[in-house]
Amino acid sequence: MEHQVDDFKLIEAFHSGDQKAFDEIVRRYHRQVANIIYLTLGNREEVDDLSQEVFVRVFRSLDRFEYDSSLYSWIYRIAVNLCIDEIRKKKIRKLIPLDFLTEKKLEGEKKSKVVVTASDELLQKEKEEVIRGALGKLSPLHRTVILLREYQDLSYGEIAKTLRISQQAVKSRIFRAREELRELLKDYFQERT
Amino acid sequence: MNHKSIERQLSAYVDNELSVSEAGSVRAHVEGCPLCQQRVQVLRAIRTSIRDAASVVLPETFVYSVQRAVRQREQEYVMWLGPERFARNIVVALCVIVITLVAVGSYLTPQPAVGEDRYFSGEPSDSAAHAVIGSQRELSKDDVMIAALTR
Repeated sequence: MEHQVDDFKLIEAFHSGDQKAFDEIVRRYHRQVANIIYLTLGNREEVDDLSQEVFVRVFRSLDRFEYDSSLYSWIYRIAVNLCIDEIRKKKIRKLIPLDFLTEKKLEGEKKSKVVVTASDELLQKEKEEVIRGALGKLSPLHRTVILLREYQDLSYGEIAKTLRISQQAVKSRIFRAREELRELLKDYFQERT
Repeated sequence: MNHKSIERQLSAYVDNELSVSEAGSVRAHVEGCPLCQQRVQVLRAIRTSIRDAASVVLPETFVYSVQRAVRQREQEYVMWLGPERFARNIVVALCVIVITLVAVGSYLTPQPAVGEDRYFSGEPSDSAAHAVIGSQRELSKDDVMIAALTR
């Protein structure tokens, strides 16, 4: 709540012509925006440009911000809409390399774990790839909702406001997205739990 | 609640989105159910993994690149604003010219004589002449002629 009040002060400062207030908004949220784009699109190369585009849009529409939601959920809405546009434009789901998530690959990974000699960093990278691949297999709607929940830590109410859907829809999409992820990552987590 | 219905609540349970009583029933079940315990564990592991996978760190200069992009867009907007404003002014000027021409044209068009309509409609009585003479305005040559003819 304190953070929200602070955000609103920044917006008011921006409205009165303080450029530094906008810079502060960028500094505060650029990491989250970049990662939500990264995890939604699964492509690192586009993250910088799209993150920049999000903040340009924020700059141009901040005048129309109505204080009925938090600034971060408003910014995430812009980011999510941009990602959905990108997905539609490029039909990006087809472009995400998902082959490493196929059964064969997971089997291979399982066997190779026995003789693992890689560093923790490599293991971490491999884990990140597996997770991103699984996220890439979800439908854009499920992917968005699960990222807002798991990564951005938004409540169901905040997600409902951000995506302009009902809380019940949020609850059921999160449930389905998790079921899909659980299925996709079944072998991966069984091995580790 | 049975095992199946509890299973469906586990997602909202790990998100703390259940009511106090619902959360209490789920907790009580989970404590005695190894399957649900494992499921909760996996859901939490998925969350941690997603957070770990969010590994993008933008360069320190990102704020400046946003500033630059904003300035560039503003310049593009201003560049477009010039032709747009020019086109708008042309439209306004054309409208003013058309309105002026219509006004001047209607002013210069001669007023029809008072009894003209009546005369040309073949009205036989003196009414056309009376209309001319009875009018309060200055009489034109045509009025006088119409009055003479109809008389």
